[in-house]
Amino acid sequence: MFLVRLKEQHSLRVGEAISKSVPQVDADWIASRRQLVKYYLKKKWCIDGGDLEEVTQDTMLAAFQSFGNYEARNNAEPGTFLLGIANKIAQTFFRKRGRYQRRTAPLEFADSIGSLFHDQAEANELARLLKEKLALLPKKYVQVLELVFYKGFKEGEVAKQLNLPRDKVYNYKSDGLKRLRKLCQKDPVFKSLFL
Amino acid sequence: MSCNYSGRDETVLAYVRQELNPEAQEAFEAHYFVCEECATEVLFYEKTVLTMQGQGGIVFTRSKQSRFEWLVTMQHFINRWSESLAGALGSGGSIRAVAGYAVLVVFLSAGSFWLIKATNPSPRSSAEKLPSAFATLAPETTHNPSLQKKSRNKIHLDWPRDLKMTNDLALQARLDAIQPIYQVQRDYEAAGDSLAFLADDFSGESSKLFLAVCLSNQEEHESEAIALLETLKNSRISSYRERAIEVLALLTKDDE
Repeated sequence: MFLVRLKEQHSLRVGEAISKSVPQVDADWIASRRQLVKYYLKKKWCIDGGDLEEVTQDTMLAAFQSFGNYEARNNAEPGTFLLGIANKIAQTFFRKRGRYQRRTAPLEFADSIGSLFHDQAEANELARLLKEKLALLPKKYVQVLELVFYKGFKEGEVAKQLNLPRDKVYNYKSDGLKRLRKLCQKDPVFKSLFL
Repeated sequence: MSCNYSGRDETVLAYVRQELNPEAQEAFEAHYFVCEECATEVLFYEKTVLTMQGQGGIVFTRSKQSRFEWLVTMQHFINRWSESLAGALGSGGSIRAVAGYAVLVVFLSAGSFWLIKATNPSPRSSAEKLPSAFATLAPETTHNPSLQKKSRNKIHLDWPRDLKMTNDLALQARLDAIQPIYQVQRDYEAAGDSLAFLADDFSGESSKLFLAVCLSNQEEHESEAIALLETLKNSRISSYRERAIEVLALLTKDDE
């Protein structure tokens, strides 16, 4: 009943987020989104190194200056507000430099050092922890994860090599990651590596 | 607070792998900027996938099977049983019945383990479980000292580290995954198998060049390598042309 009322209030479409716990947009909230803004700019706009720091800084500054204008009109989420600012700053950045680049493929490991990972040591630490957790998963899952993510095989190729149906490979892949996530959630060491 | 975003798990994974359509991607981006749970999830999957991709050598290296490895597995299951046991006790179950059940399961598990071990000795590596064509890709075989010693004297063309060989990011990612097999482990057979897939998929000249080097190091495939290199001699890209001629020269020198 509560959800029905919530849907009516916010005219949400079915399949969209129904956990509408809208946070208050203030300086603290904006500051807490810094890492996400950086990740978003990296993933979506292919911005690296010093440029990434500069655009992130400009985005945060613009967001601080204009959060007073945020009114949640037409049920706009604060996330959309912040994304709008980030996109605008990124576009201005590219216009000044006369180039335009948007990512069309997943991030690569080499690019993630210094932006998603602080340094190589952090990545090594995560690798060691993941190895421990993977040892607790059934071997089929580990095999599929290894072939898909490490060896870079497509699901079809993995299915052919392991004599499995393609949908089974997809299930092993996504279930494997979910199981890994559950195992990691129980481990307090992992919490320091995320957010 | 629990997030109720529809199809959340699949959406997060698809987002990380850049498989969502632009509208769904934008909708999810607006959501995870607000939702703490989804933001953590996105970062977890992104970091995990990237670590598997870039640090796969560490993540997927299998440690030697310890004789007492089953104890670790058992401990894991016992922890899970103890959790459910605590739940049963909380709901007023009989202590003796639950404890008896736990002891029975422990004995049965240990018994079946030893039975399986005695009747069917497990293979030393996962490579033996894979189909033969794929077995060469398992890391154990690449650490075979005789294989490395054998391949060290053969033709080797250095894999360019800083040079971006292609604009195709997907191809580049897969080439990067093969690079350590080729450059560090010098397991030309395994690298050749992976590159053959790439050459079929992308028909990229860069992958063909290194495939040719891998094939040239396997006597039975030398003629295929020469044929590939002959086609690369006419490449429009001068660096590929030069490298192909270089390897061909080495091959003919080797024959003499």
